[in-house]
Amino acid sequence: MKKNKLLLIGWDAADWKIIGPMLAKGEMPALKKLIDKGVYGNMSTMNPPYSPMLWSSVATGKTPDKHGVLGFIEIMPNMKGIRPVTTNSRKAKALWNILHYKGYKSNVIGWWPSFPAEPINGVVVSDKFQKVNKDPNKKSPILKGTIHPESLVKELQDLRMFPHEVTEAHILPCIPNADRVDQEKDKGLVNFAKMLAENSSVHAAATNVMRTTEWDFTAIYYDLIDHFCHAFMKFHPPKQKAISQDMYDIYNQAVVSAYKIQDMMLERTMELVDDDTTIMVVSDHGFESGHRRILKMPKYPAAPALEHRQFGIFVAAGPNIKKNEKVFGLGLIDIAPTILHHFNLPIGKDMDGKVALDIFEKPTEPKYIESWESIKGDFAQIKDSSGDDILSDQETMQQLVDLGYIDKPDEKIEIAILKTQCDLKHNLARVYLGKKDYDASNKILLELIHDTYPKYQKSEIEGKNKELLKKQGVQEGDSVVDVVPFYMDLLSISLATKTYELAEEYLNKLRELDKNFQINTYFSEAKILLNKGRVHEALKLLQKAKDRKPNAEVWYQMGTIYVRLNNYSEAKNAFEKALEFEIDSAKYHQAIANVFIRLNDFETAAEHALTAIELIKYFPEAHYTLGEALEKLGDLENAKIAYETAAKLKPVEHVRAEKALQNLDEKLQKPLELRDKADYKHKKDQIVIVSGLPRSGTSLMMQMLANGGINILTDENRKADTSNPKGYYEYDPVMSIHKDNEWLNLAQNKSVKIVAPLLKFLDPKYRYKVIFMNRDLNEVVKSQQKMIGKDPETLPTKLFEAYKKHLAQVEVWKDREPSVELIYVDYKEVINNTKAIVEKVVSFVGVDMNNEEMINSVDMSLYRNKS
Amino acid sequence: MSKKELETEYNQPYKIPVEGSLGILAYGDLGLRAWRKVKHENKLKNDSNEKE
Repeated sequence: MKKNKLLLIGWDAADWKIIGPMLAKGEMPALKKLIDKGVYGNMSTMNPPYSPMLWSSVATGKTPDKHGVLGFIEIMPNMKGIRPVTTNSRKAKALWNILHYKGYKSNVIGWWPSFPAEPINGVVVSDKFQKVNKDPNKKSPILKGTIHPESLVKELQDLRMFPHEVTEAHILPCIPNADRVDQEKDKGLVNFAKMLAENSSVHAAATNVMRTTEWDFTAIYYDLIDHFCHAFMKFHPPKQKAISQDMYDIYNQAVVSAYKIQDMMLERTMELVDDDTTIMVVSDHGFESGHRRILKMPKYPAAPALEHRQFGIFVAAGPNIKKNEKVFGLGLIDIAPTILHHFNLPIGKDMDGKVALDIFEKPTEPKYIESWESIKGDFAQIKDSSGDDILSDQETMQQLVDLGYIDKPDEKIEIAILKTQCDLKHNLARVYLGKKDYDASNKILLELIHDTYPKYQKSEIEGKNKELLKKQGVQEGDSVVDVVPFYMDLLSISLATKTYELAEEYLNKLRELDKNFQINTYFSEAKILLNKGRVHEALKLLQKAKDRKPNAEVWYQMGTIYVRLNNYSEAKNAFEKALEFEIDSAKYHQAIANVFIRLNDFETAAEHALTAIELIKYFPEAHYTLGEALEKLGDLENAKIAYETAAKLKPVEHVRAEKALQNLDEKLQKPLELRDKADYKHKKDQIVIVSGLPRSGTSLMMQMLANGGINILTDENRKADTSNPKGYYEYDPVMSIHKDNEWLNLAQNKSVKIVAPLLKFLDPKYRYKVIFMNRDLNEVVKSQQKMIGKDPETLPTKLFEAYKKHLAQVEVWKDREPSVELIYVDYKEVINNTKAIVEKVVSFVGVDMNNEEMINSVDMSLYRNKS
Repeated sequence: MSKKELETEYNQPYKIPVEGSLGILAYGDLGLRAWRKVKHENKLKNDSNEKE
């Protein structure tokens, strides 16, 4: 049996939003088992989120501009037609090519695209295997190139399941009211049968090659969840108003059933590997399941991808994978480098992804080479596609049309080719847009709008495609290529690059062109108005849009305007509303974190910035905001790390992070300045708090206050001992103040001891006078070491740093809290200059006290552990 | 309902219903082949009953 194997399972469109509740109900036991013994997290997708592009990025670690797969279809090499995308479009080496070169054996089943099968060391069952004719009376031959090695065709050919084999035993667990489907009008069951049959075929082939071959790497791709979601998500609970009760009753369990089937299949594949195998389950994107579900698709190329959510799933388990931990910031582009690293192979520096070192229990340093592309040798790639005249696959093309991924190809081949060329170029422009390479994107888009295209003639409008063209709103004389989407992206680029005059030109052009469908242009209009300084008009426009149809983005845009107006409280409300719509948007968390900093709520700011980073690790602005929040909280060391990360992620542009780092370095070199905040007046029902780090003289101060005549809130549960011979003056409920601070009302007009890290849990409704005991940190730590029986001469540096952090945090906290006054009292001064300190304390507390008794409380013999 | 016993890799007996099940499909190649065998045998049996 081979060692260190890796099984990669792709579940197109799997989403934690559906999986989470199912795991809780025990409905996905196999995935649960994997999570329990491994890691899990979000996996961010890329734009545009079209599956063949994304799965090629998973396989290559490269963005589509580099790997070359740019859409669902491609132009045939002989330029005679178009067809579903094939391996020929991929120009970069996939994992299995690299593994082949290195002598590993791979199995690749159903990957999109993987036809024609590459002649690798192992088995490829390409994505054409499962596509069969739905008419049982028609033949479905296995085409040459479907399976490698061809000798396996005989072994695997009976493993294709046909839609006509699907029975009620398969349908009813997923669609219990299937008998109510009107099959004349509703093709739901036909689609169900096709989707289930295709995925069962993939699974049967996968289990077969896993069982019968020796392998190092197996990759299996299933589209069951994605296709079920496109077909049935609109019926998924909660019921949407526009969906009839009858349809809802029929199909509301369909989406969940796809996940259950996929989990059962996972269980079987898990049975077929040993404990030494690493398993990864990944999805390329999520799928909208809440209020953003789209009931009526807009007429827009690949519009169904609008339902794809930014985050897919990542789960991994294996011998060197951490156990039951959540991992953050993964992208699908990281999968290939991570797998190469698993096999101890170098990562190409031209790969866009990084090794997800966080997932490994014992991470090792990744190795790099310039590029795998320039290495000569046998990578089992298909080189010569000149003789590749595979006919356009009508069934698959029809499925892509049915799913809405492509428009029905024109009857005229030359027009179909032209449209495909434009689509692929447009997709490439969108890839560059996603990578923020605006120049490259702009160049392609300008070419696309300046090209001349043929126009629809009367004969075409009234010809064979009459109904289809009518449905699309096409009229005689219209260009066969719709340039509106190109202008929309040009508008986005001009807004992103702040060339507002150009943006206005594009906006006007869109208004002129947009005769057939409504485009939401209010964001663009608002941005243009903002640039003209017409802030209130922009706000009004967005408010109108919000009243018409509230959504996360409109609230976010309003929030950004409120920020501009320095109205942070309204900005906070707007961003909170955006988060109500979309809780897992890193952008919204980052925006609200920024606002909380302006509102001086640094802890909440840090929490939101961290959430943004959890969602997207490569988010320099969020790291910067986290740095700001931590700096304000006094956690300078971690603030430094956050600023460094921000600067590292955006080395050229993030000058703010660089400056902040310089400031912070200066601050870190300076000793902490502690300043009193006190007006030395008695406050009604005030609570006198004695605080400080443990062993900084807090018990001594409590004793002084008690002897001076202040009532002490103590339960005397902790008795005097050799470390504190005169008692601790502690009150047990203090220790759980973070859970319950109700008891603070008992402390009014009394004094209570609370250690420094717990001060932040004080209820702001009371008035506090905090006497903060300060003592040389070396002395504090030594005293503590001695108290717990450790060598006082060994200084734990981590503890030392943590205490420094607490002190800095107290300094920020007292300035921030209006109900708090605080004086610092130096322990050494209490011993050496007792009278002056007593006067300071009495004056601070603001009541008459017995100064003499307070002075007498100080026992010089107890001053030990001097540094 | 005609059922056939399937021997899994772990020697656990499993009765396969003629109409199949999602569980059998999830079992992969062995499940699909065993189910088709059951269907085939059932068809032969039905055909022979009809003849009788």
